[in-house]
Amino acid sequence: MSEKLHLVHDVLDKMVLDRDKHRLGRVDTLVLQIRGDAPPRVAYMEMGGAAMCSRLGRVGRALATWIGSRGRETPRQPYRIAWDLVRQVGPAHVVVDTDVETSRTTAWERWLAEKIVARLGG
Amino acid sequence: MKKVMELALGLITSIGGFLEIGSITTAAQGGAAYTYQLGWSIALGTLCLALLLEMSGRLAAVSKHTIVDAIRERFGLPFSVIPAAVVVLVSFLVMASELGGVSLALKFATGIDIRWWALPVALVAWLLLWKGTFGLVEQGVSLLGLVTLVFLVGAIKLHPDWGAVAHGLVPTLPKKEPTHYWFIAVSILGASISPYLFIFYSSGAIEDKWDSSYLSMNRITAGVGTAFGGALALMVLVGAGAVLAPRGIQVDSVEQVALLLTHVLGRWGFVLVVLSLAIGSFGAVAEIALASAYIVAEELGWNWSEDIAPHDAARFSMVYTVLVVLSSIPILLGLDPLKLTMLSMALTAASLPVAVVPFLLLMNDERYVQEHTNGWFGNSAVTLIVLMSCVLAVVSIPLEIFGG
Repeated sequence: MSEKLHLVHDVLDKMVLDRDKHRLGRVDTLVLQIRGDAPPRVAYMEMGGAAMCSRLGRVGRALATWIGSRGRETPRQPYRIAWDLVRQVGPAHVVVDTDVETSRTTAWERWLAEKIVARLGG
Repeated sequence: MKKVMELALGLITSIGGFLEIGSITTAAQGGAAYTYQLGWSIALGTLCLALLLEMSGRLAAVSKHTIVDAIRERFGLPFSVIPAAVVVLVSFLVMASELGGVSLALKFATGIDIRWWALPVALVAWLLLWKGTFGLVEQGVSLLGLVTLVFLVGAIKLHPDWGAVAHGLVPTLPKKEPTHYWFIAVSILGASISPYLFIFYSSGAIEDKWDSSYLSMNRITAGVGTAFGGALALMVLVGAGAVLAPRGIQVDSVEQVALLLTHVLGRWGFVLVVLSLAIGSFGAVAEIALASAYIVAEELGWNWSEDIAPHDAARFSMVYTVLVVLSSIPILLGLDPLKLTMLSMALTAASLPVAVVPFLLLMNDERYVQEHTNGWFGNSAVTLIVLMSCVLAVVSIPLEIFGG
Protein backbone atom coordinates (compact mmCIF):
# COMPACT_ATOMS: atom_id res chain seq x y z
CA MET A 1 0.00 0.00 0.00
CA SER A 2 1.34 3.43 -0.87
CA GLU A 3 2.37 5.73 1.94
CA LYS A 4 -0.05 8.46 0.91
CA LEU A 5 -3.63 7.38 0.42
CA HIS A 6 -6.28 9.84 -0.68
CA LEU A 7 -9.46 8.33 0.67
CA VAL A 8 -11.85 9.93 -1.82
CA HIS A 9 -9.49 9.67 -4.80
CA ASP A 10 -8.04 6.24 -4.16
CA VAL A 11 -10.66 4.32 -2.19
CA LEU A 12 -14.20 5.71 -2.44
CA ASP A 13 -16.25 4.16 -5.30
CA LYS A 14 -13.56 1.59 -6.07
CA MET A 15 -14.45 -2.06 -6.74
CA VAL A 16 -13.89 -4.34 -3.74
CA LEU A 17 -12.55 -7.87 -4.25
CA ASP A 18 -12.48 -10.68 -1.72
CA ARG A 19 -9.34 -12.65 -0.92
CA ASP A 20 -9.91 -14.85 -3.99
CA LYS A 21 -10.37 -11.78 -6.23
CA HIS A 22 -14.16 -12.17 -6.57
CA ARG A 23 -16.18 -8.96 -6.86
CA LEU A 24 -17.92 -7.99 -3.61
CA GLY A 25 -19.27 -4.58 -4.54
CA ARG A 26 -18.07 -0.98 -4.43
CA VAL A 27 -16.88 1.23 -1.61
CA ASP A 28 -20.10 3.22 -1.31
CA THR A 29 -19.20 5.19 1.82
CA LEU A 30 -16.23 5.50 4.16
CA VAL A 31 -16.71 5.97 7.91
CA LEU A 32 -14.21 7.69 10.19
CA GLN A 33 -14.16 7.05 13.92
CA ILE A 34 -13.86 10.09 16.17
CA ARG A 35 -11.77 9.19 19.20
CA GLY A 36 -11.87 12.01 21.75
CA ASP A 37 -8.68 14.04 21.49
CA ALA A 38 -6.94 11.48 19.27
CA PRO A 39 -7.00 12.03 15.49
CA PRO A 40 -9.94 10.40 13.64
CA ARG A 41 -9.17 7.09 11.98
CA VAL A 42 -10.82 5.14 9.18
CA ALA A 43 -13.10 2.62 10.86
CA TYR A 44 -14.79 0.81 7.98
CA MET A 45 -16.10 0.88 4.43
CA GLU A 46 -19.83 0.59 3.81
CA MET A 47 -21.35 -1.14 0.81
CA GLY A 48 -24.75 -1.96 -0.64
CA GLY A 49 -28.04 -0.28 -1.50
CA ALA A 50 -28.58 1.66 1.72
CA ALA A 51 -25.04 3.06 1.79
CA MET A 52 -25.29 4.00 -1.87
CA CYS A 53 -28.67 5.72 -1.54
CA SER A 54 -27.43 7.75 1.43
CA ARG A 55 -25.17 9.63 -1.02
CA LEU A 56 -27.95 10.55 -3.41
CA GLY A 57 -29.55 13.60 -1.79
CA ARG A 58 -32.71 13.83 0.28
CA VAL A 59 -34.69 11.30 -1.74
CA GLY A 60 -31.75 8.90 -1.65
CA ARG A 61 -31.40 9.25 2.13
CA ALA A 62 -35.12 8.56 2.60
CA LEU A 63 -34.72 5.50 0.42
CA ALA A 64 -31.67 4.41 2.43
CA THR A 65 -33.69 4.67 5.65
CA TRP A 66 -36.49 2.63 4.08
CA ILE A 67 -34.05 -0.05 2.87
CA GLY A 68 -32.48 -0.27 6.33
CA SER A 69 -35.79 -0.52 8.20
CA ARG A 70 -37.85 -2.82 5.93
CA GLY A 71 -39.77 -5.23 8.17
CA ARG A 72 -37.47 -4.66 11.15
CA GLU A 73 -37.94 -2.99 14.48
CA THR A 74 -34.33 -1.83 14.65
CA PRO A 75 -32.90 -0.57 11.37
CA ARG A 76 -30.21 -2.80 9.88
CA GLN A 77 -26.81 -1.20 9.39
CA PRO A 78 -25.35 -1.11 5.87
CA TYR A 79 -22.87 -3.87 5.11
CA ARG A 80 -19.54 -2.90 6.68
CA ILE A 81 -16.00 -4.09 6.17
CA ALA A 82 -13.56 -3.11 8.87
CA TRP A 83 -10.62 -1.11 7.56
CA ASP A 84 -8.33 -3.60 9.32
CA LEU A 85 -9.39 -6.19 6.73
CA VAL A 86 -8.07 -4.13 3.80
CA ARG A 87 -5.07 -5.89 2.31
CA GLN A 88 -4.40 -3.87 -0.82
CA VAL A 89 -5.53 -0.62 -2.46
CA GLY A 90 -4.58 -1.04 -6.10
CA PRO A 91 -5.22 1.15 -9.17
CA ALA A 92 -8.47 -0.65 -10.00
CA HIS A 93 -9.48 -2.57 -6.86
CA VAL A 94 -9.50 -2.70 -3.09
CA VAL A 95 -8.73 -6.22 -1.88
CA VAL A 96 -10.11 -7.27 1.50
CA ASP A 97 -9.54 -10.35 3.61
CA THR A 98 -13.04 -11.79 3.47
CA ASP A 99 -14.97 -14.36 1.43
CA VAL A 100 -17.67 -13.65 -1.18
CA GLU A 101 -19.49 -16.89 -0.30
CA THR A 102 -20.28 -15.75 3.24
CA SER A 103 -20.45 -12.00 2.66
CA ARG A 104 -23.78 -10.30 3.45
CA THR A 105 -23.26 -7.89 0.55
CA THR A 106 -23.77 -10.71 -1.95
CA ALA A 107 -26.61 -12.38 -0.02
CA TRP A 108 -29.31 -11.51 -2.51
CA GLU A 109 -27.06 -12.51 -5.40
CA ARG A 110 -26.96 -15.97 -3.82
CA TRP A 111 -30.73 -15.87 -3.18
CA LEU A 112 -31.39 -14.98 -6.84
CA ALA A 113 -29.01 -17.71 -7.99
CA GLU A 114 -30.72 -20.37 -5.93
CA LYS A 115 -34.38 -19.34 -6.20
CA ILE A 116 -34.65 -18.02 -9.76
CA VAL A 117 -31.56 -18.54 -11.93
CA ALA A 118 -31.25 -22.23 -11.02
CA ARG A 119 -34.91 -22.78 -11.98
CA LEU A 120 -34.29 -21.14 -15.35
CA GLY A 121 -31.48 -23.59 -16.05
CA GLY A 122 -28.63 -21.14 -15.43
CA MET B 1 -0.97 -15.61 -35.71
CA LYS B 2 -3.55 -15.51 -32.92
CA LYS B 3 -3.58 -11.71 -33.10
CA VAL B 4 -4.02 -11.80 -36.90
CA MET B 5 -7.02 -14.09 -36.49
CA GLU B 6 -8.44 -11.82 -33.80
CA LEU B 7 -7.90 -8.82 -36.04
CA ALA B 8 -9.67 -10.49 -38.97
CA LEU B 9 -12.54 -11.52 -36.71
CA GLY B 10 -12.72 -8.02 -35.22
CA LEU B 11 -12.93 -6.48 -38.69
CA ILE B 12 -15.61 -8.92 -39.84
CA THR B 13 -17.54 -8.28 -36.61
CA SER B 14 -17.44 -4.52 -37.15
CA ILE B 15 -18.65 -4.85 -40.74
CA GLY B 16 -21.26 -7.58 -40.18
CA GLY B 17 -22.58 -5.98 -37.01
CA PHE B 18 -22.95 -2.42 -38.29
CA LEU B 19 -26.36 -2.38 -39.94
CA GLU B 20 -29.59 -2.74 -37.96
CA ILE B 21 -33.07 -1.24 -38.22
CA GLY B 22 -31.88 2.20 -37.06
CA SER B 23 -29.06 2.63 -39.56
CA ILE B 24 -31.02 0.93 -42.39
CA THR B 25 -34.24 2.94 -42.08
CA THR B 26 -32.64 6.33 -41.37
CA ALA B 27 -30.24 5.93 -44.34
CA ALA B 28 -33.11 4.78 -46.57
CA GLN B 29 -35.23 7.77 -45.51
CA GLY B 30 -32.31 10.09 -46.24
CA GLY B 31 -31.74 8.58 -49.69
CA ALA B 32 -35.43 8.57 -50.61
CA ALA B 33 -35.98 12.21 -49.60
CA TYR B 34 -32.68 13.85 -50.58
CA THR B 35 -30.97 11.36 -52.95
CA TYR B 36 -27.25 11.37 -51.99
CA GLN B 37 -27.18 14.76 -50.26
CA LEU B 38 -27.19 13.33 -46.70
CA GLY B 39 -24.17 11.07 -47.29
CA TRP B 40 -22.14 13.46 -45.12
CA SER B 41 -24.19 12.62 -42.01
CA ILE B 42 -23.33 8.93 -42.39
CA ALA B 43 -19.66 9.82 -42.93
CA LEU B 44 -19.58 12.12 -39.92
CA GLY B 45 -21.45 9.63 -37.70
CA THR B 46 -19.08 6.85 -38.75
CA LEU B 47 -16.00 8.99 -38.05
CA CYS B 48 -17.36 9.91 -34.60
CA LEU B 49 -18.15 6.28 -33.81
CA ALA B 50 -14.72 5.06 -34.96
CA LEU B 51 -12.98 7.61 -32.71
CA LEU B 52 -15.14 6.76 -29.70
CA LEU B 53 -14.65 3.00 -30.20
CA GLU B 54 -10.89 3.41 -30.47
CA MET B 55 -10.85 5.47 -27.27
CA SER B 56 -13.00 3.01 -25.35
CA GLY B 57 -10.74 0.11 -26.43
CA ARG B 58 -7.64 2.13 -25.46
CA LEU B 59 -9.12 2.96 -22.04
CA ALA B 60 -9.88 -0.71 -21.37
CA ALA B 61 -6.55 -2.03 -22.66
CA VAL B 62 -4.40 0.44 -20.71
CA SER B 63 -6.37 1.02 -17.50
CA LYS B 64 -8.23 -2.33 -17.26
CA HIS B 65 -11.35 -0.28 -16.59
CA THR B 66 -14.54 -0.25 -18.59
CA ILE B 67 -16.01 3.18 -19.32
CA VAL B 68 -18.74 2.80 -16.67
CA ASP B 69 -16.25 1.51 -14.11
CA ALA B 70 -13.88 4.44 -14.69
CA ILE B 71 -16.67 7.05 -14.66
CA ARG B 72 -17.99 5.75 -11.31
CA GLU B 73 -14.49 5.69 -9.84
CA ARG B 74 -13.32 9.03 -11.24
CA PHE B 75 -16.47 11.14 -10.80
CA GLY B 76 -18.18 9.38 -7.89
CA LEU B 77 -21.61 7.85 -7.45
CA PRO B 78 -23.81 11.00 -7.38
CA PHE B 79 -22.57 12.00 -10.85
CA SER B 80 -22.07 8.59 -12.45
CA VAL B 81 -25.67 7.44 -11.90
CA ILE B 82 -26.84 10.16 -14.32
CA PRO B 83 -25.05 8.97 -17.51
CA ALA B 84 -25.65 5.34 -16.49
CA ALA B 85 -29.40 5.87 -16.08
CA VAL B 86 -29.75 7.99 -19.24
CA VAL B 87 -27.86 5.51 -21.42
CA VAL B 88 -29.83 2.52 -20.06
CA LEU B 89 -33.16 4.31 -20.64
CA VAL B 90 -32.34 5.43 -24.18
CA SER B 91 -30.79 2.08 -25.04
CA PHE B 92 -33.97 0.39 -23.87
CA LEU B 93 -35.97 2.33 -26.47
CA VAL B 94 -33.41 1.44 -29.13
CA MET B 95 -33.64 -2.22 -28.06
CA ALA B 96 -37.43 -2.13 -28.42
CA SER B 97 -37.02 -0.72 -31.96
CA GLU B 98 -34.51 -3.42 -32.84
CA LEU B 99 -36.88 -6.08 -31.54
CA GLY B 100 -39.50 -4.46 -33.77
CA GLY B 101 -37.03 -4.75 -36.68
CA VAL B 102 -36.64 -8.52 -36.20
CA SER B 103 -40.41 -8.94 -35.77
CA LEU B 104 -41.05 -6.95 -38.96
CA ALA B 105 -38.56 -9.07 -40.91
CA LEU B 106 -40.36 -12.19 -39.68
CA LYS B 107 -43.67 -10.66 -40.72
CA PHE B 108 -42.30 -10.02 -44.23
CA ALA B 109 -41.15 -13.64 -44.39
CA THR B 110 -44.32 -15.25 -43.03
CA GLY B 111 -47.16 -12.74 -43.29
CA ILE B 112 -47.88 -13.18 -39.57
CA ASP B 113 -48.46 -9.91 -37.66
CA ILE B 114 -45.44 -8.49 -35.82
CA ARG B 115 -47.19 -8.64 -32.43
CA TRP B 116 -47.05 -12.44 -32.58
CA TRP B 117 -43.28 -12.29 -33.04
CA ALA B 118 -42.31 -9.90 -30.21
CA LEU B 119 -42.20 -12.43 -27.38
CA PRO B 120 -40.66 -15.34 -29.36
CA VAL B 121 -37.89 -13.00 -30.59
CA ALA B 122 -37.28 -11.80 -27.02
CA LEU B 123 -37.13 -15.42 -25.87
CA VAL B 124 -34.58 -16.43 -28.54
CA ALA B 125 -32.43 -13.36 -27.75
CA TRP B 126 -32.58 -14.23 -24.05
CA LEU B 127 -31.62 -17.87 -24.78
CA LEU B 128 -28.60 -16.69 -26.77
CA LEU B 129 -27.47 -14.55 -23.83
CA TRP B 130 -28.32 -17.18 -21.21
CA LYS B 131 -26.59 -20.09 -22.89
CA GLY B 132 -24.02 -18.31 -25.09
CA THR B 133 -20.65 -16.74 -24.48
CA PHE B 134 -19.45 -13.22 -25.25
CA GLY B 135 -17.68 -14.48 -28.37
CA LEU B 136 -20.86 -16.11 -29.67
CA VAL B 137 -22.94 -12.96 -29.10
CA GLU B 138 -20.33 -10.63 -30.56
CA GLN B 139 -18.91 -12.66 -33.42
CA GLY B 140 -21.49 -15.33 -34.20
CA VAL B 141 -24.30 -12.93 -35.03
CA SER B 142 -21.94 -10.52 -36.81
CA LEU B 143 -20.63 -13.29 -39.07
CA LEU B 144 -24.23 -13.97 -40.14
CA GLY B 145 -24.60 -10.20 -40.49
CA LEU B 146 -22.23 -10.27 -43.44
CA VAL B 147 -25.43 -10.84 -45.44
CA THR B 148 -25.77 -7.03 -45.23
CA LEU B 149 -23.10 -6.90 -47.96
CA VAL B 150 -26.13 -7.31 -50.25
CA PHE B 151 -26.56 -3.51 -50.00
CA LEU B 152 -23.09 -3.07 -51.53
CA VAL B 153 -23.89 -5.50 -54.35
CA GLY B 154 -27.26 -3.83 -54.91
CA ALA B 155 -25.80 -0.32 -54.97
CA ILE B 156 -23.14 -1.34 -57.52
CA LYS B 157 -25.74 -3.01 -59.75
CA LEU B 158 -27.90 0.12 -59.62
CA HIS B 159 -25.10 2.07 -61.36
CA PRO B 160 -25.60 5.28 -59.38
CA ASP B 161 -23.85 8.52 -60.25
CA TRP B 162 -20.78 7.94 -58.05
CA GLY B 163 -19.67 11.55 -58.57
CA ALA B 164 -22.93 12.72 -57.01
CA VAL B 165 -22.49 10.18 -54.18
CA ALA B 166 -19.01 11.60 -53.46
CA HIS B 167 -20.42 15.14 -53.66
CA GLY B 168 -22.98 14.18 -50.97
CA LEU B 169 -20.16 13.46 -48.53
CA VAL B 170 -19.63 17.22 -48.23
CA PRO B 171 -22.33 18.87 -46.08
CA THR B 172 -24.63 21.14 -48.07
CA LEU B 173 -27.84 22.99 -47.27
CA PRO B 174 -31.09 21.43 -48.50
CA LYS B 175 -33.09 22.86 -51.40
CA LYS B 176 -36.43 21.69 -49.95
CA GLU B 177 -37.98 20.96 -46.55
CA PRO B 178 -35.00 21.99 -44.39
CA THR B 179 -36.67 20.88 -41.14
CA HIS B 180 -37.16 17.37 -42.48
CA TYR B 181 -33.58 17.38 -43.80
CA TRP B 182 -32.06 18.22 -40.42
CA PHE B 183 -34.33 15.78 -38.61
CA ILE B 184 -33.16 12.93 -40.82
CA ALA B 185 -29.54 14.09 -40.41
CA VAL B 186 -30.02 14.00 -36.62
CA SER B 187 -31.59 10.55 -36.79
CA ILE B 188 -28.75 9.21 -38.97
CA LEU B 189 -26.18 10.57 -36.52
CA GLY B 190 -28.12 9.12 -33.58
CA ALA B 191 -28.27 5.75 -35.34
CA SER B 192 -24.51 5.80 -35.97
CA ILE B 193 -23.20 7.02 -32.59
CA SER B 194 -25.24 5.02 -30.06
CA PRO B 195 -23.52 5.11 -26.64
CA TYR B 196 -24.31 1.43 -26.08
CA LEU B 197 -21.87 0.65 -28.90
CA PHE B 198 -18.77 2.07 -27.22
CA ILE B 199 -19.86 0.91 -23.77
CA PHE B 200 -20.31 -2.62 -25.14
CA TYR B 201 -16.92 -2.35 -26.87
CA SER B 202 -15.04 -1.41 -23.67
CA SER B 203 -16.74 -4.12 -21.60
CA GLY B 204 -15.95 -6.58 -24.42
CA ALA B 205 -12.28 -5.57 -24.30
CA ILE B 206 -12.24 -6.39 -20.57
CA GLU B 207 -14.09 -9.69 -21.25
CA ASP B 208 -11.40 -10.52 -23.84
CA LYS B 209 -8.65 -9.50 -21.36
CA TRP B 210 -7.04 -6.85 -23.55
CA ASP B 211 -3.76 -5.28 -22.49
CA SER B 212 -1.50 -2.64 -24.06
CA SER B 213 -0.36 -5.10 -26.74
CA TYR B 214 -3.85 -4.82 -28.25
CA LEU B 215 -3.62 -1.07 -28.93
CA SER B 216 -2.66 -1.41 -32.63
CA MET B 217 -5.30 -4.04 -33.22
CA ASN B 218 -7.84 -1.84 -31.47
CA ARG B 219 -6.96 1.07 -33.76
CA ILE B 220 -7.38 -1.02 -36.91
CA THR B 221 -10.58 -2.76 -35.77
CA ALA B 222 -12.22 0.48 -34.64
CA GLY B 223 -11.01 2.53 -37.61
CA VAL B 224 -11.11 0.21 -40.61
CA GLY B 225 -13.98 -2.01 -39.43
CA THR B 226 -16.22 0.95 -38.62
CA ALA B 227 -15.32 2.66 -41.91
CA PHE B 228 -16.43 -0.43 -43.87
CA GLY B 229 -19.59 -0.67 -41.75
CA GLY B 230 -20.33 3.01 -42.42
CA ALA B 231 -19.75 2.39 -46.14
CA LEU B 232 -22.51 -0.26 -46.02
CA ALA B 233 -24.89 2.27 -44.43
CA LEU B 234 -23.95 4.67 -47.23
CA MET B 235 -24.88 1.96 -49.75
CA VAL B 236 -28.38 1.80 -48.22
CA LEU B 237 -28.68 5.55 -48.77
CA VAL B 238 -27.32 5.15 -52.32
CA GLY B 239 -29.83 2.36 -53.03
CA ALA B 240 -32.76 4.46 -51.77
CA GLY B 241 -31.39 7.51 -53.63
CA ALA B 242 -31.19 5.58 -56.90
CA VAL B 243 -34.49 3.67 -56.63
CA LEU B 244 -36.94 5.66 -54.50
CA ALA B 245 -35.89 9.31 -54.93
CA PRO B 246 -36.39 9.47 -58.74
CA ARG B 247 -39.93 8.08 -58.30
CA GLY B 248 -40.74 10.54 -55.51
CA ILE B 249 -41.36 7.69 -53.03
CA GLN B 250 -40.83 8.59 -49.35
CA VAL B 251 -40.01 5.88 -46.82
CA ASP B 252 -42.98 5.83 -44.47
CA SER B 253 -42.86 2.12 -43.74
CA VAL B 254 -40.12 -0.48 -43.44
CA GLU B 255 -41.78 -2.53 -46.24
CA GLN B 256 -40.45 0.02 -48.75
CA VAL B 257 -36.91 -0.65 -47.53
CA ALA B 258 -37.45 -4.40 -47.87
CA LEU B 259 -38.37 -3.93 -51.53
CA LEU B 260 -35.41 -1.62 -52.20
CA LEU B 261 -33.25 -4.10 -54.09
CA THR B 262 -35.91 -6.19 -55.87
CA HIS B 263 -35.40 -3.78 -58.80
CA VAL B 264 -31.91 -5.15 -59.46
CA LEU B 265 -31.73 -8.46 -57.56
CA GLY B 266 -35.27 -9.75 -58.00
CA ARG B 267 -36.71 -12.06 -55.34
CA TRP B 268 -33.24 -12.62 -53.84
CA GLY B 269 -33.01 -8.88 -53.26
CA PHE B 270 -36.10 -9.06 -51.06
CA VAL B 271 -34.95 -12.22 -49.23
CA LEU B 272 -31.47 -10.89 -48.50
CA VAL B 273 -32.66 -7.44 -47.35
CA VAL B 274 -35.18 -9.09 -45.01
CA LEU B 275 -32.43 -11.38 -43.71
CA SER B 276 -30.18 -8.34 -43.21
CA LEU B 277 -32.89 -6.60 -41.23
CA ALA B 278 -33.57 -9.69 -39.13
CA ILE B 279 -29.96 -10.62 -38.35
CA GLY B 280 -28.69 -7.05 -37.89
CA SER B 281 -31.54 -6.08 -35.57
CA PHE B 282 -31.37 -9.38 -33.66
CA GLY B 283 -27.65 -8.85 -33.04
CA ALA B 284 -28.43 -5.34 -31.79
CA VAL B 285 -31.11 -6.64 -29.37
CA ALA B 286 -28.58 -9.05 -27.84
CA GLU B 287 -25.80 -6.44 -27.70
CA ILE B 288 -27.99 -3.74 -26.16
CA ALA B 289 -29.38 -6.13 -23.52
CA LEU B 290 -25.84 -7.15 -22.66
CA ALA B 291 -24.53 -3.56 -22.71
CA SER B 292 -27.34 -2.46 -20.35
CA ALA B 293 -26.56 -5.32 -17.95
CA TYR B 294 -22.86 -4.34 -18.09
CA ILE B 295 -23.77 -0.73 -17.21
CA VAL B 296 -25.96 -1.66 -14.23
CA ALA B 297 -23.57 -4.29 -12.87
CA GLU B 298 -20.45 -2.17 -13.31
CA GLU B 299 -22.09 0.91 -11.82
CA LEU B 300 -23.26 -1.00 -8.73
CA GLY B 301 -20.20 -3.22 -8.38
CA TRP B 302 -21.94 -6.53 -9.02
CA ASN B 303 -20.23 -9.56 -10.45
CA TRP B 304 -20.54 -9.56 -14.27
CA SER B 305 -19.39 -11.48 -17.30
CA GLU B 306 -21.09 -13.09 -20.26
CA ASP B 307 -18.42 -15.80 -20.13
CA ILE B 308 -19.50 -17.23 -16.77
CA ALA B 309 -22.66 -19.19 -15.99
CA PRO B 310 -25.74 -17.07 -15.11
CA HIS B 311 -25.66 -18.73 -11.67
CA ASP B 312 -22.32 -17.06 -10.92
CA ALA B 313 -23.51 -13.58 -11.90
CA ALA B 314 -27.18 -13.87 -10.99
CA ARG B 315 -27.98 -10.15 -10.68
CA PHE B 316 -26.22 -9.36 -13.97
CA SER B 317 -28.08 -12.18 -15.75
CA MET B 318 -31.42 -11.10 -14.33
CA VAL B 319 -30.92 -7.51 -15.58
CA TYR B 320 -30.67 -8.61 -19.24
CA THR B 321 -33.45 -11.14 -18.71
CA VAL B 322 -35.88 -8.50 -17.43
CA LEU B 323 -34.83 -5.91 -20.04
CA VAL B 324 -35.22 -8.31 -22.98
CA VAL B 325 -38.71 -9.30 -21.85
CA LEU B 326 -39.76 -5.67 -21.20
CA SER B 327 -38.45 -4.55 -24.60
CA SER B 328 -41.12 -6.65 -26.29
CA ILE B 329 -43.93 -4.61 -24.66
CA PRO B 330 -43.95 -1.60 -27.07
CA ILE B 331 -44.34 -3.98 -30.05
CA LEU B 332 -46.95 -6.06 -28.19
CA LEU B 333 -48.86 -2.82 -27.59
CA GLY B 334 -48.86 -2.19 -31.34
CA LEU B 335 -46.39 0.71 -31.58
CA ASP B 336 -45.14 1.35 -35.12
CA PRO B 337 -41.50 0.13 -35.27
CA LEU B 338 -40.54 2.87 -37.74
CA LYS B 339 -41.86 5.69 -35.51
CA LEU B 340 -40.28 4.03 -32.47
CA THR B 341 -36.97 3.82 -34.34
CA MET B 342 -36.99 7.48 -35.39
CA LEU B 343 -37.90 8.58 -31.84
CA SER B 344 -35.22 6.43 -30.22
CA MET B 345 -32.56 7.62 -32.70
CA ALA B 346 -33.39 11.30 -31.99
CA LEU B 347 -33.30 10.63 -28.23
CA THR B 348 -29.98 8.85 -28.64
CA ALA B 349 -28.58 11.95 -30.32
CA ALA B 350 -29.95 14.07 -27.47
CA SER B 351 -28.34 11.87 -24.83
CA LEU B 352 -24.85 11.89 -26.37
CA PRO B 353 -23.33 14.79 -24.36
CA VAL B 354 -24.15 13.07 -21.08
CA ALA B 355 -22.20 9.99 -22.11
CA VAL B 356 -19.40 11.66 -24.09
CA VAL B 357 -18.27 14.56 -21.82
CA PRO B 358 -17.08 12.44 -18.84
CA PHE B 359 -15.53 9.98 -21.30
CA LEU B 360 -13.48 12.78 -22.89
CA LEU B 361 -12.20 13.86 -19.47
CA LEU B 362 -11.18 10.27 -18.69
CA MET B 363 -9.26 10.00 -21.95
CA ASN B 364 -7.10 12.91 -20.81
CA ASP B 365 -6.43 11.57 -17.32
CA GLU B 366 -2.99 9.96 -17.05
CA ARG B 367 -4.11 7.98 -14.01
CA TYR B 368 -6.25 5.94 -16.37
CA VAL B 369 -4.61 5.98 -19.79
CA GLN B 370 -1.03 6.76 -18.70
CA GLU B 371 0.97 8.07 -21.66
CA HIS B 372 -1.82 7.06 -24.05
CA THR B 373 -3.92 10.17 -23.45
CA ASN B 374 -5.73 11.66 -26.42
CA GLY B 375 -3.57 13.65 -28.83
CA TRP B 376 -4.69 16.99 -30.25
CA PHE B 377 -6.59 15.27 -33.05
CA GLY B 378 -8.46 12.93 -30.72
CA ASN B 379 -9.24 15.76 -28.34
CA SER B 380 -10.39 18.13 -31.07
CA ALA B 381 -12.44 15.39 -32.70
CA VAL B 382 -14.15 14.40 -29.45
CA THR B 383 -14.72 18.06 -28.58
CA LEU B 384 -16.35 18.41 -31.98
CA ILE B 385 -18.47 15.34 -31.22
CA VAL B 386 -19.53 16.85 -27.90
CA LEU B 387 -20.37 20.22 -29.45
CA MET B 388 -22.22 18.53 -32.27
CA SER B 389 -24.07 16.36 -29.75
CA CYS B 390 -25.11 19.46 -27.78
CA VAL B 391 -26.47 21.08 -30.94
CA LEU B 392 -28.22 17.85 -31.85
CA ALA B 393 -29.77 17.66 -28.40
CA VAL B 394 -31.13 21.18 -28.71
CA VAL B 395 -32.46 20.80 -32.25
CA SER B 396 -33.63 17.19 -32.27
CA ILE B 397 -36.68 17.66 -30.04
CA PRO B 398 -38.31 20.53 -31.99
CA LEU B 399 -37.25 18.84 -35.23
CA GLU B 400 -38.94 15.69 -34.07
CA ILE B 401 -42.15 17.62 -33.44
CA PHE B 402 -42.16 19.76 -36.60
CA GLY B 403 -40.12 17.64 -38.98
CA GLY B 404 -40.72 14.01 -38.05
